[in-house]
Amino acid sequence: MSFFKAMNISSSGLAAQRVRMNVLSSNLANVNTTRTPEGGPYKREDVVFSATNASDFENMLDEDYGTELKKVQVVDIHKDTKAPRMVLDPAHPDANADGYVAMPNIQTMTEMVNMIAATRAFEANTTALNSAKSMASTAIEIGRA
Amino acid sequence: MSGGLIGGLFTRGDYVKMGALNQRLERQHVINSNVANAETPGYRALGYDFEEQLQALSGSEGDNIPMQASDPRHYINGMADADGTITPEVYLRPTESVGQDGNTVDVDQEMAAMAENQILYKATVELINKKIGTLKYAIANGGNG
Amino acid sequence: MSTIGSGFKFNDAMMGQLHDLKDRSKMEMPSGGKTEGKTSFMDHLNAAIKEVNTDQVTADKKATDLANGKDTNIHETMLASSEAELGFNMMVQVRNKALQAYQEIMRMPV
Repeated sequence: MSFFKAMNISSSGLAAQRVRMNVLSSNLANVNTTRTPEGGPYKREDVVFSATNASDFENMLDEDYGTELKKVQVVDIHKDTKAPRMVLDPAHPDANADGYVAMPNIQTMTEMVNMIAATRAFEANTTALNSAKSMASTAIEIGRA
Repeated sequence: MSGGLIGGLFTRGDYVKMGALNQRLERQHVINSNVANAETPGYRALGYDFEEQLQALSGSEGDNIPMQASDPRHYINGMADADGTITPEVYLRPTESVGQDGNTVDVDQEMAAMAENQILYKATVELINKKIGTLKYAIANGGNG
Repeated sequence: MSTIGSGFKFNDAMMGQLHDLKDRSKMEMPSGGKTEGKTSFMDHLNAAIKEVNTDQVTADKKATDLANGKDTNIHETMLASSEAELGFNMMVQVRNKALQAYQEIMRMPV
């Protein structure tokens, strides 16, 4: 039973939200990107979270209760497989034979809302981490008259 | 929790406070885990209860015997063992609303629970410090005159 | 001379010492008037010690209730705890002073 288990769990949350913010920023920055190294327009990316056991394998026997505490991990950044938006723009250098340009299927509003959610989750994890840290600091003061 | 001179210094109320500190720390772990996984698909929020068990251990008014009572009849109703250990309850929080992805964490509820937990942790530490301070004062000033 | 124990045991020890003082002062100063004065002072002291003890019991109960989540009125608990602590500290000092006074009187050449 360690103070730092709570802080490790919270820091995993912070790291996961940070990855998500990076992905969202990348999406927003490339909302009009028509050329990528792989060819074709930029494909929207999304993070996939997964809850993994917070304890190491050796410590699992130390758990006092049946349910394992879970930390969060980003297991995958997967690219959106939706079809790109076709925009009529014959003057564009990447227009196809019909004059349509394949633009990334990214909705700016959606990405902004996701960013707000990610920020809020990041702040919540920060509060949780500070709470655990504050409890540890208070415990050090026990007996100090 | 030995007997003898040191055992006579702390009352049952003091051991209840020490137990409460442990329990509140575990609760902090659970809350942090919920907050870190607030966006993980399929994650179900956990709750951690110990109040009832600890209250069963706290004894009646004017009860001043130490925690490890030789008579097991002092601990009835299945909430606590004869040697003073309690079994906390880890459970899935019941929730009316489940998110689209199967996540049941309510971040605001977790924040409120975290604030309460931290404040009561600090208050309990403060009360333990007061008791220790009283003992120190008695030891320092009781031999004069 | 002092018994180190919990706050409650210390109260009992103090009461015992003060009773000692009372009995000894009765023995060694047989003049009626002085004894009368000492008795009523001791009675005041006894009453004060009982009050301090009650305060401590109340504060302990409130503190336990806060720790196990039954009653989370923090300011009431802290006030009761401070009151008990201050009452106890003052009683220690009063007891020290009473002992000092007794010893000074004993030192007086008759």
